[in-house]
Amino acid sequence: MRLRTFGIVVTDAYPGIVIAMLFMCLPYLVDSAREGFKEVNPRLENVARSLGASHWRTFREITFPLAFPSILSGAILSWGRAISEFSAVLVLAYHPISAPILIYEKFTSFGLRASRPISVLLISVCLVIFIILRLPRWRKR
Amino acid sequence: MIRVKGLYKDWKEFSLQDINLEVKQGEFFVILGPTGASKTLLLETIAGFYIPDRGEVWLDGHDVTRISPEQRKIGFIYQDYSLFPHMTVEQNIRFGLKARKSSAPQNKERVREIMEWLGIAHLAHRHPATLSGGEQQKVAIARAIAIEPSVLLLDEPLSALDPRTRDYLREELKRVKEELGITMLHVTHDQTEAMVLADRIAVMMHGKIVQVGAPKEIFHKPLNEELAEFVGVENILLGTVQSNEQGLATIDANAGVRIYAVSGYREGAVKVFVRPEDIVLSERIGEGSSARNVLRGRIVELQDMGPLTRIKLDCGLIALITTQSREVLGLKRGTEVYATFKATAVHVVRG
Repeated sequence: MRLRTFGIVVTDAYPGIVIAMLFMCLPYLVDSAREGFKEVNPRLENVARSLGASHWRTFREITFPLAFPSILSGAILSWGRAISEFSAVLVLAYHPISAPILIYEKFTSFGLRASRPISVLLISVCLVIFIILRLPRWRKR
Repeated sequence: MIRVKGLYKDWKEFSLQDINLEVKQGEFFVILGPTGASKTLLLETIAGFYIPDRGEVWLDGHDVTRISPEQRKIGFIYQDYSLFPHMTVEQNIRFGLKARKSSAPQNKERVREIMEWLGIAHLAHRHPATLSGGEQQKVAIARAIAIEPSVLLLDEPLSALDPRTRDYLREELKRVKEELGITMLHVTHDQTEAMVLADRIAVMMHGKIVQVGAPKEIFHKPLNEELAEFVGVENILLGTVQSNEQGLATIDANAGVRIYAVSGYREGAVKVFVRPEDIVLSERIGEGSSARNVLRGRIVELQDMGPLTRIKLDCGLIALITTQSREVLGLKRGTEVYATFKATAVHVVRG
Protein backbone atom coordinates (compact mmCIF):
# COMPACT_ATOMS: atom_id res chain seq x y z
CA MET A 1 0.00 0.00 0.00
CA ARG A 2 1.46 3.29 -1.15
CA LEU A 3 -0.64 5.23 1.36
CA ARG A 4 1.51 3.67 4.06
CA THR A 5 4.40 5.91 2.98
CA PHE A 6 2.29 8.89 4.08
CA GLY A 7 1.59 7.20 7.37
CA ILE A 8 -1.93 6.20 6.44
CA VAL A 9 -2.76 2.63 7.28
CA VAL A 10 -5.82 1.35 5.45
CA THR A 11 -6.21 -2.34 6.12
CA ASP A 12 -7.63 -3.14 9.54
CA ALA A 13 -7.62 0.53 10.47
CA TYR A 14 -10.05 3.40 10.82
CA PRO A 15 -9.22 4.97 7.38
CA GLY A 16 -10.00 1.59 5.83
CA ILE A 17 -13.57 1.75 7.09
CA VAL A 18 -13.95 5.26 5.71
CA ILE A 19 -12.56 4.29 2.32
CA ALA A 20 -14.71 1.17 2.05
CA MET A 21 -17.83 3.14 2.94
CA LEU A 22 -17.01 6.00 0.57
CA PHE A 23 -16.35 3.62 -2.26
CA MET A 24 -19.68 1.89 -1.82
CA CYS A 25 -21.86 4.87 -1.03
CA LEU A 26 -20.47 8.03 -2.63
CA PRO A 27 -22.21 7.30 -5.97
CA TYR A 28 -25.58 7.96 -4.30
CA LEU A 29 -24.47 11.45 -3.36
CA VAL A 30 -22.82 12.19 -6.71
CA ASP A 31 -25.80 11.03 -8.69
CA SER A 32 -28.34 12.93 -6.68
CA ALA A 33 -26.22 16.11 -6.67
CA ARG A 34 -25.81 15.89 -10.42
CA GLU A 35 -29.58 15.66 -10.87
CA GLY A 36 -29.96 18.66 -8.57
CA PHE A 37 -27.56 20.79 -10.59
CA LYS A 38 -29.13 19.71 -13.84
CA GLU A 39 -32.55 20.84 -12.64
CA VAL A 40 -31.43 24.42 -12.11
CA ASN A 41 -32.76 26.41 -15.06
CA PRO A 42 -29.79 27.86 -16.97
CA ARG A 43 -31.91 30.96 -17.63
CA LEU A 44 -31.69 31.82 -13.93
CA GLU A 45 -27.91 31.74 -14.20
CA ASN A 46 -28.05 33.84 -17.38
CA VAL A 47 -30.19 36.46 -15.68
CA ALA A 48 -27.90 36.52 -12.66
CA ARG A 49 -24.91 37.13 -14.93
CA SER A 50 -26.72 39.91 -16.78
CA LEU A 51 -27.46 41.55 -13.42
CA GLY A 52 -23.76 41.79 -12.76
CA ALA A 53 -22.94 38.61 -10.83
CA SER A 54 -19.69 36.84 -11.68
CA HIS A 55 -19.50 33.10 -12.43
CA TRP A 56 -18.55 32.33 -8.87
CA ARG A 57 -21.19 34.57 -7.31
CA THR A 58 -23.86 33.06 -9.57
CA PHE A 59 -22.83 29.59 -8.43
CA ARG A 60 -22.76 30.60 -4.77
CA GLU A 61 -26.04 32.49 -4.67
CA ILE A 62 -28.17 30.85 -7.35
CA THR A 63 -26.99 27.46 -8.58
CA PHE A 64 -25.79 25.96 -5.30
CA PRO A 65 -28.71 27.05 -3.10
CA LEU A 66 -31.18 25.72 -5.69
CA ALA A 67 -29.36 22.40 -5.99
CA PHE A 68 -28.81 22.11 -2.23
CA PRO A 69 -31.95 20.10 -1.37
CA SER A 70 -30.88 17.41 -3.84
CA ILE A 71 -27.34 17.43 -2.49
CA LEU A 72 -28.62 17.11 1.07
CA SER A 73 -30.96 14.28 0.26
CA GLY A 74 -28.15 12.53 -1.63
CA ALA A 75 -25.90 12.97 1.37
CA ILE A 76 -28.48 11.49 3.72
CA LEU A 77 -29.08 8.55 1.42
CA SER A 78 -25.37 8.02 1.09
CA TRP A 79 -24.83 8.18 4.83
CA GLY A 80 -27.69 5.78 5.49
CA ARG A 81 -26.19 3.36 3.06
CA ALA A 82 -22.70 3.76 4.57
CA ILE A 83 -23.63 3.22 8.19
CA SER A 84 -24.95 -0.24 7.38
CA GLU A 85 -22.17 -1.13 4.92
CA PHE A 86 -20.95 -4.62 5.65
CA SER A 87 -19.22 -6.49 2.85
CA ALA A 88 -16.60 -3.95 1.76
CA VAL A 89 -15.72 -3.10 5.35
CA LEU A 90 -15.50 -6.81 6.19
CA VAL A 91 -12.94 -7.34 3.45
CA LEU A 92 -10.86 -4.20 3.92
CA ALA A 93 -10.99 -3.46 7.63
CA TYR A 94 -12.52 -6.09 9.90
CA HIS A 95 -10.86 -4.33 12.83
CA PRO A 96 -11.54 -1.89 14.49
CA ILE A 97 -15.01 -3.42 14.24
CA SER A 98 -17.81 -1.19 12.93
CA ALA A 99 -21.40 -1.64 14.12
CA PRO A 100 -22.60 -4.06 11.40
CA ILE A 101 -19.51 -6.19 11.92
CA LEU A 102 -20.06 -6.23 15.64
CA ILE A 103 -23.60 -7.44 15.01
CA TYR A 104 -22.26 -10.14 12.73
CA GLU A 105 -19.61 -11.18 15.23
CA LYS A 106 -22.08 -11.42 18.11
CA PHE A 107 -24.46 -13.33 15.87
CA THR A 108 -21.90 -15.94 14.82
CA SER A 109 -20.51 -16.36 18.34
CA PHE A 110 -23.62 -16.14 20.51
CA GLY A 111 -26.64 -16.16 18.20
CA LEU A 112 -29.45 -13.82 17.32
CA ARG A 113 -30.32 -12.95 20.90
CA ALA A 114 -26.84 -11.50 21.50
CA SER A 115 -26.79 -9.36 18.37
CA ARG A 116 -30.26 -7.89 18.96
CA PRO A 117 -29.37 -5.05 21.42
CA ILE A 118 -26.70 -3.68 19.10
CA SER A 119 -29.10 -3.77 16.15
CA VAL A 120 -31.75 -1.89 18.11
CA LEU A 121 -29.21 0.69 19.21
CA LEU A 122 -27.94 1.19 15.65
CA ILE A 123 -31.44 1.58 14.28
CA SER A 124 -32.39 4.10 16.98
CA VAL A 125 -29.29 6.19 16.42
CA CYS A 126 -29.95 6.22 12.66
CA LEU A 127 -33.57 7.16 13.16
CA VAL A 128 -32.70 10.11 15.36
CA ILE A 129 -30.09 11.38 12.93
CA PHE A 130 -32.47 11.00 9.98
CA ILE A 131 -35.15 12.97 11.75
CA ILE A 132 -32.74 15.75 12.67
CA LEU A 133 -31.51 16.02 9.09
CA ARG A 134 -34.99 16.07 7.60
CA LEU A 135 -36.35 18.53 10.15
CA PRO A 136 -35.47 21.79 8.35
CA ARG A 137 -37.28 20.67 5.22
CA TRP A 138 -40.44 19.63 7.02
CA ARG A 139 -40.54 22.95 8.75
CA LYS A 140 -40.34 24.75 5.40
CA ARG A 141 -43.58 23.20 4.15
CA MET B 1 -27.52 51.88 -28.67
CA ILE B 2 -27.00 48.38 -30.00
CA ARG B 3 -25.10 47.52 -33.14
CA VAL B 4 -24.71 43.98 -34.43
CA LYS B 5 -22.33 43.35 -37.32
CA GLY B 6 -22.20 40.18 -39.43
CA LEU B 7 -23.11 37.88 -36.57
CA TYR B 8 -22.93 34.11 -37.04
CA LYS B 9 -23.68 31.45 -34.46
CA ASP B 10 -24.56 27.77 -34.63
CA TRP B 11 -26.10 26.26 -31.54
CA LYS B 12 -28.00 22.98 -31.50
CA GLU B 13 -30.85 23.26 -33.99
CA PHE B 14 -30.66 27.06 -34.02
CA SER B 15 -28.42 29.31 -36.02
CA LEU B 16 -27.77 32.98 -36.72
CA GLN B 17 -26.66 33.87 -40.20
CA ASP B 18 -25.10 37.21 -40.98
CA ILE B 19 -27.21 39.29 -38.63
CA ASN B 20 -26.80 43.04 -39.04
CA LEU B 21 -28.82 45.35 -36.84
CA GLU B 22 -28.72 48.85 -35.54
CA VAL B 23 -30.95 49.92 -32.69
CA LYS B 24 -30.86 53.60 -31.96
CA GLN B 25 -30.58 55.24 -28.55
CA GLY B 26 -34.00 55.25 -26.85
CA GLU B 27 -35.67 53.29 -29.61
CA PHE B 28 -38.27 50.57 -29.14
CA PHE B 29 -37.09 47.95 -31.59
CA VAL B 30 -39.06 44.75 -32.13
CA ILE B 31 -37.77 41.58 -33.73
CA LEU B 32 -40.75 39.76 -35.13
CA GLY B 33 -40.51 36.18 -36.29
CA PRO B 34 -42.17 32.79 -36.18
CA THR B 35 -41.23 30.14 -33.59
CA GLY B 36 -37.86 28.58 -34.33
CA ALA B 37 -36.41 31.63 -36.07
CA SER B 38 -33.56 31.74 -33.50
CA LYS B 39 -34.80 35.02 -32.03
CA THR B 40 -33.92 33.99 -28.48
CA LEU B 41 -30.45 32.89 -29.56
CA LEU B 42 -29.87 36.33 -31.08
CA LEU B 43 -30.94 38.07 -27.89
CA GLU B 44 -28.82 35.76 -25.74
CA THR B 45 -25.81 36.35 -27.95
CA ILE B 46 -26.25 40.12 -27.67
CA ALA B 47 -26.45 39.68 -23.89
CA GLY B 48 -23.20 37.70 -23.92
CA PHE B 49 -24.55 34.34 -22.75
CA TYR B 50 -23.09 32.93 -25.96
CA ILE B 51 -19.98 33.96 -27.82
CA PRO B 52 -20.65 34.32 -31.56
CA ASP B 53 -18.75 32.18 -34.07
CA ARG B 54 -18.16 35.32 -36.11
CA GLY B 55 -19.22 38.95 -36.04
CA GLU B 56 -19.34 41.74 -33.49
CA VAL B 57 -21.69 43.16 -30.90
CA TRP B 58 -21.41 46.83 -29.99
CA LEU B 59 -23.14 48.49 -27.04
CA ASP B 60 -23.06 52.26 -26.62
CA GLY B 61 -20.12 52.60 -28.94
CA HIS B 62 -17.98 49.85 -27.37
CA ASP B 63 -17.12 46.50 -28.88
CA VAL B 64 -18.39 44.02 -26.26
CA THR B 65 -18.14 40.83 -28.33
CA ARG B 66 -15.62 39.26 -25.92
CA ILE B 67 -16.83 40.90 -22.73
CA SER B 68 -18.60 38.75 -20.14
CA PRO B 69 -22.33 39.41 -19.58
CA GLU B 70 -21.88 40.86 -16.07
CA GLN B 71 -19.86 43.73 -17.50
CA ARG B 72 -22.29 44.68 -20.26
CA LYS B 73 -24.91 46.51 -18.19
CA ILE B 74 -27.92 45.07 -19.93
CA GLY B 75 -31.29 44.08 -18.54
CA PHE B 76 -32.65 40.74 -19.68
CA ILE B 77 -36.25 39.57 -19.37
CA TYR B 78 -37.41 36.08 -20.27
CA GLN B 79 -40.88 34.86 -21.15
CA ASP B 80 -40.88 32.56 -18.10
CA TYR B 81 -39.87 35.50 -15.83
CA SER B 82 -36.88 33.55 -14.43
CA LEU B 83 -37.21 34.94 -10.93
CA PHE B 84 -34.93 33.40 -8.32
CA PRO B 85 -37.35 31.07 -6.53
CA HIS B 86 -35.45 30.98 -3.22
CA MET B 87 -35.53 34.75 -2.77
CA THR B 88 -38.32 37.16 -1.94
CA VAL B 89 -39.44 39.81 -4.39
CA GLU B 90 -37.31 42.40 -2.62
CA GLN B 91 -34.23 40.17 -2.62
CA ASN B 92 -34.75 39.44 -6.30
CA ILE B 93 -34.78 43.12 -7.17
CA ARG B 94 -31.83 43.86 -4.90
CA PHE B 95 -29.71 41.03 -6.35
CA GLY B 96 -28.23 43.12 -9.15
CA LEU B 97 -27.46 46.06 -6.89
CA LYS B 98 -25.70 43.79 -4.41
CA ALA B 99 -23.73 42.12 -7.18
CA ARG B 100 -22.60 45.54 -8.32
CA LYS B 101 -21.50 46.28 -4.77
CA SER B 102 -23.39 49.46 -4.19
CA SER B 103 -23.95 50.29 -0.53
CA ALA B 104 -26.80 48.68 1.37
CA PRO B 105 -28.83 51.65 2.72
CA GLN B 106 -29.00 53.22 -0.73
CA ASN B 107 -30.07 49.89 -2.22
CA LYS B 108 -33.05 49.61 0.06
CA GLU B 109 -34.22 53.05 -0.93
CA ARG B 110 -33.76 52.35 -4.62
CA VAL B 111 -35.59 48.99 -4.47
CA ARG B 112 -38.47 50.68 -2.62
CA GLU B 113 -38.64 53.38 -5.27
CA ILE B 114 -38.77 50.93 -8.18
CA MET B 115 -41.36 48.73 -6.50
CA GLU B 116 -43.58 51.73 -5.93
CA TRP B 117 -43.08 52.94 -9.49
CA LEU B 118 -44.33 49.59 -10.79
CA GLY B 119 -46.99 49.14 -8.11
CA ILE B 120 -45.57 45.99 -6.53
CA ALA B 121 -44.46 47.37 -3.15
CA HIS B 122 -47.07 45.26 -1.37
CA LEU B 123 -45.43 42.09 -2.70
CA ALA B 124 -41.98 42.85 -1.26
CA HIS B 125 -41.81 39.89 1.12
CA ARG B 126 -43.55 37.28 -1.02
CA HIS B 127 -41.80 34.47 -2.87
CA PRO B 128 -42.15 34.27 -6.67
CA ALA B 129 -44.10 30.99 -6.57
CA THR B 130 -46.98 32.75 -4.80
CA LEU B 131 -47.36 35.48 -7.45
CA SER B 132 -49.49 35.61 -10.60
CA GLY B 133 -47.86 35.70 -14.02
CA GLY B 134 -48.38 39.43 -14.41
CA GLU B 135 -46.95 40.16 -10.99
CA GLN B 136 -43.96 37.95 -11.66
CA GLN B 137 -43.23 39.74 -14.91
CA LYS B 138 -43.44 43.10 -13.15
CA VAL B 139 -40.88 41.86 -10.62
CA ALA B 140 -38.67 40.72 -13.49
CA ILE B 141 -38.94 44.18 -15.05
CA ALA B 142 -38.15 45.81 -11.71
CA ARG B 143 -35.14 43.55 -11.22
CA ALA B 144 -33.83 44.37 -14.68
CA ILE B 145 -34.21 48.14 -14.46
CA ALA B 146 -32.81 48.32 -10.92
CA ILE B 147 -29.27 48.17 -12.28
CA GLU B 148 -30.05 51.11 -14.58
CA PRO B 149 -29.16 49.33 -17.81
CA SER B 150 -28.74 51.29 -21.00
CA VAL B 151 -30.54 48.59 -22.97
CA LEU B 152 -33.27 46.15 -22.07
CA LEU B 153 -33.53 42.85 -23.93
CA LEU B 154 -36.96 41.25 -23.77
CA ASP B 155 -37.59 37.69 -24.92
CA GLU B 156 -41.33 37.32 -25.57
CA PRO B 157 -42.07 38.91 -22.20
CA LEU B 158 -45.84 39.05 -22.67
CA SER B 159 -46.52 35.78 -24.46
CA ALA B 160 -47.40 33.73 -21.40
CA LEU B 161 -49.91 36.23 -20.01
CA ASP B 162 -53.69 36.53 -20.35
CA PRO B 163 -54.93 39.25 -22.75
CA ARG B 164 -55.85 41.81 -20.10
CA THR B 165 -52.58 41.56 -18.23
CA ARG B 166 -50.76 41.64 -21.55
CA ASP B 167 -52.41 44.93 -22.54
CA TYR B 168 -51.58 46.39 -19.17
CA LEU B 169 -47.94 45.31 -19.21
CA ARG B 170 -47.56 46.55 -22.76
CA GLU B 171 -48.33 50.02 -21.45
CA GLU B 172 -45.87 49.50 -18.60
CA LEU B 173 -43.13 48.63 -21.08
CA LYS B 174 -43.89 51.78 -23.03
CA ARG B 175 -43.64 53.72 -19.77
CA VAL B 176 -40.25 52.15 -19.02
CA LYS B 177 -39.01 53.28 -22.41
CA GLU B 178 -40.47 56.76 -22.25
CA GLU B 179 -39.78 57.69 -18.63
CA LEU B 180 -36.42 55.99 -18.21
CA GLY B 181 -35.20 56.40 -21.78
CA ILE B 182 -33.95 52.84 -21.96
CA THR B 183 -33.30 51.36 -25.40
CA MET B 184 -35.58 48.36 -25.85
CA LEU B 185 -34.93 45.31 -27.98
CA HIS B 186 -38.04 43.18 -27.83
CA VAL B 187 -38.54 39.78 -29.45
CA THR B 188 -41.99 38.41 -30.23
CA HIS B 189 -44.06 36.34 -32.62
CA ASP B 190 -47.18 38.40 -31.87
CA GLN B 191 -47.91 40.89 -34.65
CA THR B 192 -50.29 43.05 -32.66
CA GLU B 193 -47.63 43.42 -29.99
CA ALA B 194 -45.06 44.42 -32.59
CA MET B 195 -47.47 46.86 -34.20
CA VAL B 196 -48.41 48.54 -30.91
CA LEU B 197 -44.96 48.77 -29.34
CA ALA B 198 -42.43 49.16 -32.10
CA ASP B 199 -40.77 52.26 -33.44
CA ARG B 200 -39.16 49.92 -35.93
CA ILE B 201 -39.55 46.23 -36.67
CA ALA B 202 -37.12 43.64 -38.01
CA VAL B 203 -38.62 40.44 -39.35
CA MET B 204 -36.51 37.39 -38.64
CA MET B 205 -36.89 34.01 -40.33
CA HIS B 206 -34.66 30.92 -40.38
CA GLY B 207 -31.88 32.71 -38.51
CA LYS B 208 -31.78 35.72 -40.83
CA ILE B 209 -33.10 39.26 -40.71
CA VAL B 210 -35.22 39.57 -43.83
CA GLN B 211 -36.77 43.01 -43.56
CA VAL B 212 -36.36 46.07 -41.36
CA GLY B 213 -38.73 49.01 -41.34
CA ALA B 214 -41.47 51.01 -39.68
CA PRO B 215 -44.49 48.91 -38.60
CA LYS B 216 -46.61 50.23 -41.49
CA GLU B 217 -43.96 49.25 -43.99
CA ILE B 218 -43.59 45.75 -42.57
CA PHE B 219 -47.31 45.03 -42.60
CA HIS B 220 -48.23 46.71 -45.88
CA LYS B 221 -45.12 46.31 -47.98
CA PRO B 222 -43.61 42.89 -47.25
CA LEU B 223 -40.66 42.03 -49.46
CA ASN B 224 -41.75 38.57 -50.52
CA GLU B 225 -44.54 36.03 -50.34
CA GLU B 226 -43.26 34.23 -47.24
CA LEU B 227 -43.09 37.52 -45.35
CA ALA B 228 -46.51 38.54 -46.66
CA GLU B 229 -48.04 35.33 -45.37
CA PHE B 230 -46.35 35.73 -42.02
CA VAL B 231 -47.57 39.29 -41.44
CA GLY B 232 -51.15 38.37 -42.34
CA VAL B 233 -51.51 39.49 -45.94
CA GLU B 234 -54.15 36.97 -46.90
CA ASN B 235 -54.64 37.98 -50.51
CA ILE B 236 -51.65 36.96 -52.55
CA LEU B 237 -52.35 36.90 -56.28
CA LEU B 238 -50.10 36.05 -59.19
CA GLY B 239 -50.36 38.33 -62.18
CA THR B 240 -48.76 40.07 -65.12
CA VAL B 241 -48.30 43.80 -65.52
CA GLN B 242 -50.09 44.91 -68.71
CA SER B 243 -49.31 48.61 -68.68
CA ASN B 244 -48.12 51.38 -66.43
CA GLU B 245 -49.23 54.95 -66.64
CA GLN B 246 -47.38 57.39 -64.42
CA GLY B 247 -46.96 54.86 -61.65
CA LEU B 248 -50.40 53.30 -61.85
CA ALA B 249 -49.95 49.74 -63.02
CA THR B 250 -52.67 47.63 -64.58
CA ILE B 251 -52.24 44.00 -63.62
CA ASP B 252 -54.08 40.97 -64.92
CA ALA B 253 -54.17 38.55 -62.03
CA ASN B 254 -55.18 34.92 -62.10
CA ALA B 255 -58.89 34.08 -62.47
CA GLY B 256 -59.38 36.98 -64.86
CA VAL B 257 -59.24 39.65 -62.20
CA ARG B 258 -57.93 43.05 -63.21
CA ILE B 259 -56.16 45.04 -60.49
CA TYR B 260 -54.84 48.57 -60.44
CA ALA B 261 -51.87 49.23 -58.23
CA VAL B 262 -49.48 52.01 -57.38
CA SER B 263 -46.24 50.46 -58.48
CA GLY B 264 -43.10 51.11 -60.47
CA TYR B 265 -43.20 47.84 -62.42
CA ARG B 266 -43.80 48.28 -66.16
CA GLU B 267 -44.11 44.67 -67.32
CA GLY B 268 -43.53 41.06 -66.34
CA ALA B 269 -44.80 38.56 -63.79
CA VAL B 270 -45.60 39.95 -60.35
CA LYS B 271 -47.16 39.01 -57.04
CA VAL B 272 -49.90 41.21 -55.70
CA PHE B 273 -50.49 41.62 -51.95
CA VAL B 274 -53.68 43.06 -50.45
CA ARG B 275 -54.35 43.03 -46.72
CA PRO B 276 -57.83 41.66 -45.92
CA GLU B 277 -58.73 44.66 -43.74
CA ASP B 278 -58.10 47.04 -46.68
CA ILE B 279 -60.97 45.51 -48.62
CA VAL B 280 -64.39 47.10 -48.24
CA LEU B 281 -67.52 45.12 -49.05
CA SER B 282 -70.76 46.71 -50.28
CA GLU B 283 -73.92 45.68 -52.05
CA ARG B 284 -73.72 48.43 -54.63
CA ILE B 285 -70.78 50.06 -56.31
CA GLY B 286 -69.89 52.85 -53.95
CA GLU B 287 -70.40 56.28 -55.46
CA GLY B 288 -67.87 58.96 -54.82
CA SER B 289 -65.36 56.40 -53.63
CA SER B 290 -61.79 56.97 -54.68
CA ALA B 291 -61.01 53.26 -54.72
CA ARG B 292 -59.70 52.10 -58.08
CA ASN B 293 -60.36 48.42 -57.67
CA VAL B 294 -63.92 47.09 -57.76
CA LEU B 295 -64.42 43.36 -57.97
CA ARG B 296 -67.71 41.51 -57.97
CA GLY B 297 -67.99 38.27 -56.03
CA ARG B 298 -70.22 35.87 -54.19
CA ILE B 299 -69.64 35.07 -50.52
CA VAL B 300 -68.60 31.45 -50.09
CA GLU B 301 -67.52 31.44 -46.47
CA LEU B 302 -68.06 33.52 -43.33
CA GLN B 303 -65.93 33.03 -40.28
CA ASP B 304 -66.98 34.75 -37.07
CA MET B 305 -63.92 35.87 -35.08
CA GLY B 306 -65.70 37.88 -32.40
CA PRO B 307 -65.46 41.59 -33.21
CA LEU B 308 -64.30 40.79 -36.75
CA THR B 309 -65.66 38.55 -39.49
CA ARG B 310 -63.48 36.94 -42.13
CA ILE B 311 -65.25 36.65 -45.48
CA LYS B 312 -64.13 34.59 -48.44
CA LEU B 313 -65.40 35.43 -51.93
CA ASP B 314 -65.61 33.08 -54.90
CA CYS B 315 -63.11 35.22 -56.80
CA GLY B 316 -60.56 34.18 -54.18
CA LEU B 317 -60.38 37.42 -52.19
CA ILE B 318 -60.48 37.38 -48.42
CA ALA B 319 -61.87 40.40 -46.58
CA LEU B 320 -61.87 41.27 -42.91
CA ILE B 321 -64.79 43.45 -41.81
CA THR B 322 -66.34 44.24 -38.46
CA THR B 323 -69.05 41.88 -37.36
CA GLN B 324 -71.25 44.93 -36.85
CA SER B 325 -71.04 46.00 -40.49
CA ARG B 326 -71.63 42.41 -41.55
CA GLU B 327 -74.91 42.53 -39.66
CA VAL B 328 -75.86 45.97 -41.05
CA LEU B 329 -75.22 44.76 -44.61
CA GLY B 330 -76.98 41.47 -43.89
CA LEU B 331 -74.19 39.44 -45.43
CA LYS B 332 -74.49 35.68 -45.55
CA ARG B 333 -73.36 32.83 -47.77
CA GLY B 334 -74.35 33.39 -51.38
CA THR B 335 -74.75 37.18 -51.15
CA GLU B 336 -73.39 39.03 -54.17
CA VAL B 337 -71.11 41.87 -53.13
CA TYR B 338 -68.63 44.36 -54.53
CA ALA B 339 -65.18 44.28 -53.04
CA THR B 340 -63.41 47.61 -53.34
CA PHE B 341 -59.90 48.62 -52.38
CA LYS B 342 -57.56 51.46 -53.25
CA ALA B 343 -54.70 51.21 -55.68
CA THR B 344 -52.45 52.40 -52.84
CA ALA B 345 -53.51 49.41 -50.69
CA VAL B 346 -52.03 47.05 -53.26
CA HIS B 347 -48.39 46.10 -52.83
CA VAL B 348 -46.61 44.59 -55.83
CA VAL B 349 -43.39 42.55 -55.84
CA ARG B 350 -41.60 40.64 -58.59
CA GLY B 351 -43.21 37.23 -59.07
